[in-house]
Amino acid sequence: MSELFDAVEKRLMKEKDHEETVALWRRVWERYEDSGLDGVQELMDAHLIVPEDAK
Amino acid sequence: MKPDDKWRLERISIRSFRGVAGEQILDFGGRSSLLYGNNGVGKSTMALALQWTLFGKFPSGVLPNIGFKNFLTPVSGIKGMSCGEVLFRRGAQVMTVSRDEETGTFRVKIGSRILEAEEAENERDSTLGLDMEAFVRTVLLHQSRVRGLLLDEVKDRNHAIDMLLGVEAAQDLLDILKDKPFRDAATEWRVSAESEKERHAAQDELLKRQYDGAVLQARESGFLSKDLNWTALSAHYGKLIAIVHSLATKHEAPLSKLVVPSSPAEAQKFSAKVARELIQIQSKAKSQVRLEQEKARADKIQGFLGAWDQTLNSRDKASKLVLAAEAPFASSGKPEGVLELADAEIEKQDELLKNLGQLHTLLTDARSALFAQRESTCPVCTQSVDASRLDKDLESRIRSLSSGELVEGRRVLDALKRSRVELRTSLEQLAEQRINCGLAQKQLAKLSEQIAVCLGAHAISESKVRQRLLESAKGSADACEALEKDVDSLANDIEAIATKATDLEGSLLTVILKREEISRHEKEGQKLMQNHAGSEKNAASMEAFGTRFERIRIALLGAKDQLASDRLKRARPRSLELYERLVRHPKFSSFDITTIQRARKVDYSFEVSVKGNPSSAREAKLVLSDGQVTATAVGIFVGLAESAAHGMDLLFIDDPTQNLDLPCKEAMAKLMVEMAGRKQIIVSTHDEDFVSYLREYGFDKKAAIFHIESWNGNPKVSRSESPD
Repeated sequence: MSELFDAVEKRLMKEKDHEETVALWRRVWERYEDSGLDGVQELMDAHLIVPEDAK
Repeated sequence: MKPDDKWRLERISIRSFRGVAGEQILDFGGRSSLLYGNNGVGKSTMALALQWTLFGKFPSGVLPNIGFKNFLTPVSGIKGMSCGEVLFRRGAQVMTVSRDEETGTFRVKIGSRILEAEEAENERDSTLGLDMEAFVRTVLLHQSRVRGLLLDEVKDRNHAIDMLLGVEAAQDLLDILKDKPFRDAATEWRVSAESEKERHAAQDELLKRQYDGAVLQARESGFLSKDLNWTALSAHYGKLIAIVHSLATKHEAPLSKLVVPSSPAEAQKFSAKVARELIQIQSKAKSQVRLEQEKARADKIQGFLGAWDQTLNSRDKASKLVLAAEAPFASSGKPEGVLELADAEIEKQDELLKNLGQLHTLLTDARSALFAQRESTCPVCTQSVDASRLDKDLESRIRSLSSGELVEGRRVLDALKRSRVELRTSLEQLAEQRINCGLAQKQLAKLSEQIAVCLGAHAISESKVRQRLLESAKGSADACEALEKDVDSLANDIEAIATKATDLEGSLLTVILKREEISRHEKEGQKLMQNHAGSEKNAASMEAFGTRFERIRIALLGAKDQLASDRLKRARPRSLELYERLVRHPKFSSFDITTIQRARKVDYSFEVSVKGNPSSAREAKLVLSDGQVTATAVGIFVGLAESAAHGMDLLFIDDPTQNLDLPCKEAMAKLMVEMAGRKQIIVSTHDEDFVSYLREYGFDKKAAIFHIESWNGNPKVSRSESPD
């Protein structure tokens, strides 16, 4: 596993209520490994929900 | 760890990969090696093939503007067929890593074990003890990563240091991971919900005002509170329909098909239906039909009256003209007899004139004879006569006849003839008058018959026609007046019903419809509240994502700073040593790279200084030449590589002498030779000076030499082996 991934995860683990954030970081890293930055952008777009009238 | 405890590169085999169209095998045998040849003969291809075969990709930013497949495509060869195999040895242990683009397979074979795909990737990482990022940072120094340090833009140089330190992924993620879109989305969800709420409240207020207005109008129209519901309105509709039915019956019109509306929505069309029914009743009502008939009859009688007066007048005028024309002949009985008398007079006068003419002829002849004979006897009676006296008498008589009787007779005849012509004209006019009079009489008789038929009489004498017409006209007028009263009464009834229907629609129905609208609006309000809950949930979710991404970003920032600092710190002693050996700067004998953490990135300070005098620090870019920066970068790379812990005993250095002067190349060659004695070094270069230095310092005694002589779709490689 990447040193960067480990270092980030370790830092996140120190935060309170870190489960969701760590899970999100794992998804981000997985997408980055699989598809690079495009994959990360897709992941962010998938999570981003905006009202119809704001699109 | 002893050398035998680490993996060394035995062989690279590639096919259809960038500069290699067919197949190329480089058998390193785990030894240090030199790849040398001119530009473009495929040296760098070997380094790229090693990375691609092992990891199937390149670090982000290496291929910013081209597709991966296009990058791999051989210069001359078949696209999509790239294939690579790398063999590593550790003591007696052999690991083969192979990748085939055509079949999409990645395989790792260790001993008899063959692993594929993700299992193979895991095995590769755990066996070699590094991932791609560590491989690039500590095993393979590609010239492109050094080149970035020479760029003018601070951002580009920082990125190059990121790449050198293997932390570019952290910066890439820092650039892309943003909390703002999520926080903005949270705000938008709340603003959207709030504006929807305000819109609903405004609509609510408007509807209530409209309802109050409708109730007020209903009360002004005479409806009571108990009427303000659908049941009461239905009852009103029922009564209204009964009134319409009753009206239709009363006026002998067809019965209406109106039914009580089943819903307020249907009721909205009811008053229009009633209006149509009332129009139908009004047009088909018996009084209306009869009024129209009676009006038509009155018009007809009035027409007859006018026609009668005109025709009678014409006939009377014609009669008077006949009488006037007959008047001159009244004393002579039949007018035609007068013409006969005139003809007789003319005949008689004509005879008289004829006789006078004959007498004139006779006397003329007698005078001629007398003149001829000159006799003293009368040529007629043969008596003795005085010829001259006779001649005078004859002459006198002839003259008398010519200028008197004959002239008078002719005048009288002409007068008689003129009189006859006038008489004939008068008679013709009389005849014409009589014809006209007869025609007028016939018209009058015909009209009289028509009037009799119209009035329903068998026959009406001429003297009574007018009176009878007047009587009938009066009768019709009376009937029309009576019928008009009925029709007016019907119109009043209809208007009252229509008004009632309109009142029901305009007041009661409006109240009920508004009430329904308010009810629907309240339901919409409940739905809206649910939507608001959903919006708030979305807003909270977006906020949470914003917070998580922000935490990740902060963690990334810290991790990048920490990794970069740690790696720099570990590499520092060896980097400093190599800086001194390779750069040999007369003044700035030391350098330092430190991290500077900012809000959204980690920058670097790359400075040189006089050893032991930190206050002399100057920015490296301002002091070092391109060659010196390159040499510094190689030193940093070696420092990083040697301070990293992993399972490979290999350094693959691509073109380390770019921009270097000869002394620096010499120092670089010494370094390579020195390192080649301790680990497997593979150096690629086109630099003949550098190759000479390497040979001079004995690199070829410790390493295999691959000379890539030329390239024609495939590199042509010759190998020379040292005796070792």
